[in-house]
Amino acid sequence: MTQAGKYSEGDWGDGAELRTIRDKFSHFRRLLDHNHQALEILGDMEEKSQGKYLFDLNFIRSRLADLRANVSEIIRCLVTLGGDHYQVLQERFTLIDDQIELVFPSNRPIREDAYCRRFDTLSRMNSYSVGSKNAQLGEMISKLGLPVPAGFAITAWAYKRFIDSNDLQNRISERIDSVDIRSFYDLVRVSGEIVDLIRASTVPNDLAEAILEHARGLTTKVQEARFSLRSSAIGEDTLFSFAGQYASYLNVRADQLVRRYREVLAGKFTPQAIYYFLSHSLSESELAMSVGCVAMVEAAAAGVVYSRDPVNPVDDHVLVNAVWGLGKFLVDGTLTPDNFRVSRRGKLIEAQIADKPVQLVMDTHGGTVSRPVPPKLRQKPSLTNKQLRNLARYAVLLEDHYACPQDIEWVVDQKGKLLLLQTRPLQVQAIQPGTPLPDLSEARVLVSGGNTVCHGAGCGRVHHVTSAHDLPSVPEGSVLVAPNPFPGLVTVMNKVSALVTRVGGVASHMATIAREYRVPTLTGVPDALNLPAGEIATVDATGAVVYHGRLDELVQARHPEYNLSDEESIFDILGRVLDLVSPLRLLHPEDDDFQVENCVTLHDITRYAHQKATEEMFYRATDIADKERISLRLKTDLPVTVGLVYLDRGRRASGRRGWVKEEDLGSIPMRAFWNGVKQEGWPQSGGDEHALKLTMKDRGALPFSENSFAALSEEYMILSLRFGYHFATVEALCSDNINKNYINLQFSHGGSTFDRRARRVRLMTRILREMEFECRTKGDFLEATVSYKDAEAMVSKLTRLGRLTIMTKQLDMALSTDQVASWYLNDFLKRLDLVEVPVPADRPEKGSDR
Amino acid sequence: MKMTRAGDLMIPLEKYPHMPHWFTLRQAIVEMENSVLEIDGRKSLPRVVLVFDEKYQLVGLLRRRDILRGLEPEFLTDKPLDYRKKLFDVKVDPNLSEISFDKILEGVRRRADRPVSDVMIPVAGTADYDDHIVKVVYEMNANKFSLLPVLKDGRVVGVVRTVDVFREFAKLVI
Repeated sequence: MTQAGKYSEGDWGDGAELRTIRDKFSHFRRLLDHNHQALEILGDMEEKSQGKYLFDLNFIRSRLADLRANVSEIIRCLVTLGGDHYQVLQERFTLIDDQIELVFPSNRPIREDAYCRRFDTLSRMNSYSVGSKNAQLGEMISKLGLPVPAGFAITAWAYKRFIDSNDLQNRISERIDSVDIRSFYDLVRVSGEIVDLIRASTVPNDLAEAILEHARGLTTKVQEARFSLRSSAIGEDTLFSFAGQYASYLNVRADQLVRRYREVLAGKFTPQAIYYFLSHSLSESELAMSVGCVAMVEAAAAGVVYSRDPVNPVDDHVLVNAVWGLGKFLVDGTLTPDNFRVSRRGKLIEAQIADKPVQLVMDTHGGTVSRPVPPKLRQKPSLTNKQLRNLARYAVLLEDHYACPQDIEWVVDQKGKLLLLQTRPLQVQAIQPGTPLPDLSEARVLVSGGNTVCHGAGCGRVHHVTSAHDLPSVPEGSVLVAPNPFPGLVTVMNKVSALVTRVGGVASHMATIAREYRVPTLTGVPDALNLPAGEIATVDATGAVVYHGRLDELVQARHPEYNLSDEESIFDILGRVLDLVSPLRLLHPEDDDFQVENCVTLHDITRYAHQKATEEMFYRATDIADKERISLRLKTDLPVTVGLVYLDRGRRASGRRGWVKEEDLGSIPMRAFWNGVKQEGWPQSGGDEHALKLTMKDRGALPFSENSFAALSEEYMILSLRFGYHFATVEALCSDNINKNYINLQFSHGGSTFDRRARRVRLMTRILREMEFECRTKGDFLEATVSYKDAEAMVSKLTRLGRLTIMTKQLDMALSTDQVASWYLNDFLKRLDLVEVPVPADRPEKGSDR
Repeated sequence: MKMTRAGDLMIPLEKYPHMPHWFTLRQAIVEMENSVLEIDGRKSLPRVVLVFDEKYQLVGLLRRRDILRGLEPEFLTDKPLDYRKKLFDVKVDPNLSEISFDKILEGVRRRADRPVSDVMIPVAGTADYDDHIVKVVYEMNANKFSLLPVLKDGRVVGVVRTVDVFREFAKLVI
């Protein structure tokens, strides 16, 4: 609480009898502070779940950690206040927390399996054992009969055998834990150390033998055979793309297989891969590695097919990127590929044939080598129409099978046969239709052209990089320009506001990750390297133009609406976390089900703890002397119970029989606030209560107000109110010293949907600003403060605040549209004698002022 | 034909106007006049506002004519219905012609401050989220409802209107 502690100066009485109350009150105060923080975090998380702000798994993890810390403190404070029997709440908390942990890709134990499994024995059900990549290859063969090269998976169980037999897990964990994620050099150092560790380890004999035996099973002439080894991490392609984060080896001889297998395992710990899973707060033990071993295909051409255009999914076309030779030059961004747009029935709609000066081919001695493309082929299409038709057919088939757009790698062998190497879900984006663009006729175009890889616009200072060594110096918020989309760029994805590269198509690994991080990205911009370093530029990735200067309106207008239907998307995780965190199931303390065992979310726990703490503080005195002093209540004809505690009065001054009359409140701020409440009056249904009861079977309409409470002194008050579902705390100091005076209001939640609650908070923010409050909002959480006003001004503001509190009681329920909200805004401003602000009926108000 | 359920047809609660029972007729009018329902690209104004209690339990429905009834002058409402009918039977009723417009307006404004619970009608029927469309139609016909609240686990999650059911049948027939 921002103003915490101010009340204490000179407000306390000296009597020993006040000391107990003071102690209790300080615990109670701490509980309130943590409660507010918890509610603020909830508001923030709910706001993120609406899809308008960028966040990653790290955000969820860290907010959750903050929330847990606050909830734990709340429980601790309650136990201190009320005794050990509240420890049951801690048990409840642990139970809910365990469920939350299950939402994350967790320490699922590696299941026992064979060391190696042929693809044709696999399906997608096996992804926990062989990784998603291998499992989908199995699915394509066994379920769909699609052409896939012969091969087998070396399972996660084999990985465990390797790690255990060399006692590697602890040694790796120690090093990962020591890494400073922000330092690229540190990432490189630790990566090097781990890779050395793995290289120095031995693949146990039984495992090596299993690999060789399966390799022999793939071919009759094993001496001449060549294989490719590709990583297939467990968890890869499900939650996160991990695109291109792990090493793979092409054209491997049989006698090199075991050594290369170990290299692939080592390749799990590249700097960018370490960065990627640290930034997603995964630990290396959560990501066992499976490896796919495939009979090598001598590629004539290779590439990627998207079953939909990832940046324009409604377009309904299949997108094919292709290069000559092996596909690596496409996916690592070395080449700008041929770009084909094909109808779902396989008809070629559009072809952009790129100049392809080089191709990657198999070296006779193993490995790969870059060779120039024969001049007559350089500008020729790398695929025939028939091959395109087949690719489109496979893509549509796979999309139908998996019920979501697919990103598929393929290769054409020397005989022209098409083979599929991988399929995985494609991240697609949709832009908000009809977002009006600002007038750009005056804007100076720096460069234009290129492929939209990730929609949106971003602005910042232009910064050029050419290799991974330049990455540590990339400033926050810059527009990053690179010659090609090299994989190391992933380590700066969360720092840059936009990305522009000179070569590259929409299908590189980096492109996949750019979309995941939602960095507006253009690739294949011919003049990218001419962008002036150090100048401010705005990259319109959607429109494929880079403008001079800062064009905030454009950035705003290009704000994309993301595809949230992706089954395993980050939103999904947040949604499932929120389900266990946010909904309020405990409603009314007088309900029978207001019990610890009915707390099913963290919000329930805070709600329960808050209620019980209030009871402990204000209503459940431990001894008779306490009871007389503590169990004071406000005598009022309103249907609310307000418990009172005086921080500066002995018990004799506190009124008779525990009741304090409104006129005897004896606290300047409380009297002012309560005057406002009285003036507005309790909202009454007025009608005949029997009629109400008749309308719903078995449920009478009870007067609904809960125990509210206040701790008071002559110049100070902290008042906690629960009217309906919302929750407000008003703290105020009203003295002759202008410099000490303040009012702080915290307001949150409600019984309605998030939209409506947020509308109410926006409405209150507008009114409070008219009353000179500074406001801060997060979702449906509002904090407003005003200070340095004389006592008279404070009193008048508190009275208005009292009225506003009543006016907005369960108002959220009625705020179905912005128009309705704007009517209430004007109505309230009039009623509160504040300046009337005309609000255009057709425009929603801007939300928070963060 | 795929079985259509009430849950498939309903307008979810978050999109449908509703308010607490102590809110005034004036506020209900604001709600009705400012909430446009857009279903499948077709816009309409809501004809009913759902009324809830403090615990978010449905306690009544408020139709346009309930609001109008609530705004009627007292000299009509405190008389029995047959008297009121008689009143309008004559060509020019002396009582009506003598009332000043200002006086009526003042009365209407005053009555607009009445809580909606005064005039709302009880909830006489509901549909369950999983109810078959045929059951929904039956409920509507049997009780002459043009709108049914849809319940899921005992809580209101939306409403289904005759127009929504009608459209579903229209798709089958046309």
